[in-house]
Amino acid sequence: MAVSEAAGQYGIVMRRVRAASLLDPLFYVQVVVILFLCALIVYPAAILLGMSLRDEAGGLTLKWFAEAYGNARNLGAILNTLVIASGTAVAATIAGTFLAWAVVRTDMPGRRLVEMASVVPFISTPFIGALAWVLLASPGAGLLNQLWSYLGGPGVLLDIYSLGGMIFVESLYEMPFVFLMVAGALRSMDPTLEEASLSAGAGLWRTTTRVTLPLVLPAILGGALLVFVLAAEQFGVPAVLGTPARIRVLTTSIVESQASYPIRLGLGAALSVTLLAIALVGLWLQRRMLGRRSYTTIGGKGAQPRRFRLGRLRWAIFAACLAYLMLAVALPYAAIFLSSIRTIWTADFRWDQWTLENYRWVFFDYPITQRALVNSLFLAVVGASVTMLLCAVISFLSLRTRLPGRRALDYLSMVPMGFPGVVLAFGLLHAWIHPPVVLYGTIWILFAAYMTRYIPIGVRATSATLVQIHPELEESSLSSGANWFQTFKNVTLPLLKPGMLAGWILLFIAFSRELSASILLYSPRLEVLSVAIYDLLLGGEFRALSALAFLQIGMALAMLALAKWVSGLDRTPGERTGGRTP
Amino acid sequence: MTSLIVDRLTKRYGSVLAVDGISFSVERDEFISLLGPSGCGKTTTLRCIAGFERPDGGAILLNGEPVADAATGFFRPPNKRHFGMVFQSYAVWPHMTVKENVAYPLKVQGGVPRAEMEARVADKLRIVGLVGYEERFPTQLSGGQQQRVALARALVMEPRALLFDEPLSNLDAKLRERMRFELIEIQSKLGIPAVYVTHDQAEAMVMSRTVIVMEKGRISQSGRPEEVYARPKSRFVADFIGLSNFVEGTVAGPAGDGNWLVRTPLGELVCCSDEPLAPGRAAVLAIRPECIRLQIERPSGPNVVPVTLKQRYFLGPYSEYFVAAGEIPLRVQASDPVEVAPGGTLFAAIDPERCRVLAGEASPEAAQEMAVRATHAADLAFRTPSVGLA
Ligand SMILES: Nc1ncnc2c1ncn2[C@@H]1O[C@H](COP(=O)(O)OP(=O)(O)OP(=O)(O)O)[C@@H](O)[C@H]1O
Ligand SMILES: [Mg+2]
Repeated sequence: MAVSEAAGQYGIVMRRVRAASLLDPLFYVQVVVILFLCALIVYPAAILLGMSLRDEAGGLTLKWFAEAYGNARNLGAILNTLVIASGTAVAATIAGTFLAWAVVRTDMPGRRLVEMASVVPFISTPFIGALAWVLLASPGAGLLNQLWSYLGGPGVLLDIYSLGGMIFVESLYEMPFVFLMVAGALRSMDPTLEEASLSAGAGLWRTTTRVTLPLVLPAILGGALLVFVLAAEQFGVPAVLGTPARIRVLTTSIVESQASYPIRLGLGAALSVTLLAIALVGLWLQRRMLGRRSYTTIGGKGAQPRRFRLGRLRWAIFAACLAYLMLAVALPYAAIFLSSIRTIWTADFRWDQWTLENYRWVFFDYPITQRALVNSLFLAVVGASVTMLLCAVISFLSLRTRLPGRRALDYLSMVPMGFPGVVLAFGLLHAWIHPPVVLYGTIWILFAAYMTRYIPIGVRATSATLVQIHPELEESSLSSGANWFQTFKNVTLPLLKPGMLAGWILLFIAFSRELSASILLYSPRLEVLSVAIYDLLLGGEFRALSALAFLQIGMALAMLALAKWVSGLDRTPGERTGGRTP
Repeated sequence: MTSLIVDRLTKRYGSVLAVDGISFSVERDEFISLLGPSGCGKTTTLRCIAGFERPDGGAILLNGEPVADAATGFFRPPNKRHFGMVFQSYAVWPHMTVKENVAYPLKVQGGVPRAEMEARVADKLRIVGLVGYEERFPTQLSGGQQQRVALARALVMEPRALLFDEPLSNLDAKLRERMRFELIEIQSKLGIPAVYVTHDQAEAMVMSRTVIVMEKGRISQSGRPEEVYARPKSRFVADFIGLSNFVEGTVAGPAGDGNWLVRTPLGELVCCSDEPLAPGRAAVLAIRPECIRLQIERPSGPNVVPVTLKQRYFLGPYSEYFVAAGEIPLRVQASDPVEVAPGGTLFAAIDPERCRVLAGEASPEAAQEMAVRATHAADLAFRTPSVGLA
């Protein structure tokens, strides 16, 4: 069974290699796509590097790096970035591994509820989470602090404007990545490995610490590194929580370098290169970790892993997991909702404080909202569509042809994963601000940035679907007399639809709330939703901001519901892959 | 009249020589089969003809015109070849109805008026027996019906040649048998060359005017099915098409009537050969199991060998006997029952006209190597049926 399956897959791989090498016009399509990706990725990166190594007169210099690493302010930002990233990685990894273990390996009640942790990143961004936690735990007006004083507690209970606060919030929203990876590894682990330890006389506790954990360690470390990179790239959280406490990190410093006077772009570029290096090294290490993972996944055929019988502890562990959902979802979103429908932010709830005025004001009186909504929706709908189409073409070229250069294409399409949004924006901005092609000041610069950032996610969605489609379906179109374009349009695209739709929804959600690239690339009249929220934050308009944030959360939830409905639709058997595997 | 020519076709995948300079031609209305074990290069040959692979050497010509020529680098892409191809996986598009699937070739090629398109699609659906299924989606069809959709789709474009890659291998035995005859009938009406790839020898023999037996990227033998069956040139062919007993020996000399005397462990046997044989040279004899008669009384005539019955299996139309002449195992198929208990003695009479010296197995080294393999194969032959029939 396993052998013939493997042979079947091998056959498909071979076919794929053989298929469609004949489509010569495709070579030119591929060249165009590669050039396009170079314009969006390689050229900006080169510009960035160039800027970091040149002085005002254009001569070669290392002074910007000297300033980045020599000046206490900048060095502080680098150190803070590393501290926050490491702290977040540690906290998120411990919590994520614990949750994954509890869900996969114990008989804890409510496991399906706790699984919902994996959707948390889709509901909102860490940026919105940070705003919510300001409402809950800012030293002055935070609801929890107010309650604390009301109960007679001394001083301030929580200060969210701190390194610890940032680590806390980022951990909440990045933990699900660890959770997903570790839960996946635990699920695919061969249960006989544990059974062997048990029958050797080791107890459950020893088996867990000596066998199970070491086996999923690559997944744990891989998750930790991913979170490290995500936290280092994070702009929203330090902008909300760090700025009031004068805690600077790399992302906020880069953005600042664009706005401060005298403008010192070289410094911004040097900081960007530094952040880029941190992210690339982190991702490279992560790849290596996950590359070693294979030995844990000796597919026990649907064998059920053994579950710990927790006894009375089960409720305690469930409570701990529930606490996570409270802190990441229930409390913050309730705070945002409450803040959006009240006239004043106090713990002292009175009937005359409820109002819809915040919504009215933010939609009709605040000039930016309507433009921002139009821009964000345009980018989300058109941007996600164009990006998915491009991703389908990239997947097709790299999986269904043998053209020279398809490896480069494959590689290029994955590179943006290592690009922090702020850094990408910095590069794109300076790459495309000069004539003859001026994208800055148009919506297309945002379009390009979003597209570039999310190409890896789109390509993964389309490639995963494409490998399930038998190549003979396309070959039979060719032998029917259709050219490659007709084949792509009539056969490949329709069959890719389910995967593309799922990818499109992901991109829609991401595009409709992008912040860290937008913050450098927007210009007056070209604001987007997150920028509008950010602008309100700078003005201290927390109630109006909550109204917009609530709208953003609502949009994401609606899209998630749509995704679920759509995935229910395409579950008709056979529709998806078509044909039969021989 | 010759229509499709494959000339010294070579195709390499890295270091693997998948097709090694094979040549054959197919006449206008001829149905030809490529037959051979898994991995021998059948699919690769077909895909070169269809245009999914670029040959590394040789040429492919249709009606005297090249469609691919490695020497000049000429290559016509598959969508310009108008060859109807039926794939093993059917490759029926799941997002189109039966009608849309079949109409697709006409649509993409353009220039066919709507009414004519309808008529041609309806006509082909009638030929394959799918009237009434026009609006169904492939997921609502059985495997055999999907197979017919694929066939109708290949036919509708009025192809210049028909190519099949094991199109029946996913069907059950009964349906497969019916489809065989339908395919030949359709092809003979169209009068175009057809190349059919299969590893099922029965299928190849029933369907084709010519079978080409392939081994490791080369042609071992080709010819009419009767001829390939009756006069295999090599042990590989004799073994792959039908069953054979192999007996090694040395040529003793002519035996009159154009026959030859070969000295073997079974005694001196009178055999026939396609070519003259020098006395003293090594020879391998191939004897089909159904060409040996078993009798209780010693019959008169040449080539009579006393044997011991080891096992007997009743298979319905005939019985299978495993006998041994001394140390040499023989397999015999006969329809008339021979009532002897295992261990009993019988006489095997071998028809000299069907006791053949294999032309391709003459060299002493080959004979040496073969001797080892033959005993091995015979060993297996003794064991496998008892497993299969237990
Ligand atoms: N894309 C490829 N890359 C490398 N080797 C290949 C490729 N396609 C086929 N081969 C090799 O070429 C040889 C012939 O393969 P082919 O598919 O033509 O065999 P086949 O006769 O059709 O076999 P089967 O009956 O199993 O379908 C095999 O050794 C196979 O491994
Ligand atoms: Mg094949």
